[in-house]
Amino acid sequence: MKKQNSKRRSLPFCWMVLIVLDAVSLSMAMDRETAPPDVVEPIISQIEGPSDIPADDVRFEAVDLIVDSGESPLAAWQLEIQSRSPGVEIVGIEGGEHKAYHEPPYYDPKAIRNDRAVLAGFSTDDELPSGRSRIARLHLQLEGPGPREFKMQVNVMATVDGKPIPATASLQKSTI
Amino acid sequence: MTDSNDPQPQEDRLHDAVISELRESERVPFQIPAERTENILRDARAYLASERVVRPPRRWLKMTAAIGSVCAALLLFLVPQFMDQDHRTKRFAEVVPETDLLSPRSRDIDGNGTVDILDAYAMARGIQSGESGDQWDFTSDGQLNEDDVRLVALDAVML
Repeated sequence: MKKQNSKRRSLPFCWMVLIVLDAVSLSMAMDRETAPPDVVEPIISQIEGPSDIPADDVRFEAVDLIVDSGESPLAAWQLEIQSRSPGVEIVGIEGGEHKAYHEPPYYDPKAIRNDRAVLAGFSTDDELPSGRSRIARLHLQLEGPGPREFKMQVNVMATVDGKPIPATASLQKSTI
Repeated sequence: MTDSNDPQPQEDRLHDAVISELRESERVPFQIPAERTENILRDARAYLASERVVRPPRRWLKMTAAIGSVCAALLLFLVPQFMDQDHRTKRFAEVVPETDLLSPRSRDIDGNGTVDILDAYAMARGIQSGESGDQWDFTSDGQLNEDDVRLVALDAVML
């Protein structure tokens, strides 16, 4: 006796709904993990150090945070600095050279004795720095020989009215 | 020798013996032996009993799988958002516990979804231009001044 198999091979509607929903959720979750298009790439700066000192040697260095805003006046800025090398501690934060940023920037007190800090400042003065300007100075305690590498992530660089500007930031040893 | 009155030609007629035999079979019905019938029935029953009946999954199993899949998809999408909110709220309370417990979200002055220095800057410019009202009085002292701006700026630089 031959039995005929006449089953229909069709995907149930509920499974189709599930598959579509899961695909949409997964794509939305993946979109959230993707960096937004306006994220600025981090800046890597290196501060040279002596190589002929003992490993337990402790010294202090001052590094300047330099911002070049081009022709636009710098009205607000915010960036994050983190050491990528060991033996680095932030022990002090000073203001900049222009009178608009002469006061120390805003920072979390937990940044002191830490190797990471978020610094920010703004000014509503009529006179604002433009071009290349020192906006802050970091005092660092360094242990051991060799250079130190820092990663800087620019969060905000804005001119008057809060408009973003393509300013660059860099670290360099102070010349005091 | 052919008969001219016979309408059917001689060569088309069956043999008489065959004709008589056929008439005999029509008169007596064919008898199927009972044993053969029983054998056929036994084979049929055995065949049907050996067939595996594939039962479709119960409906409740489908519903459970559907609900579980939906919940997993929602968790994958929603949990990271809630975790970010809780972390940010706890971090602010640890640093400035004496202030009121407004959610940091209300300090997003420019509404871009992030509390950064631009919010403090916008607030400072607003106060400078004569902005008033208690929506920015984060210190709850009844005044809009540098202290309120400072709170927003400190929130922007929290580690």
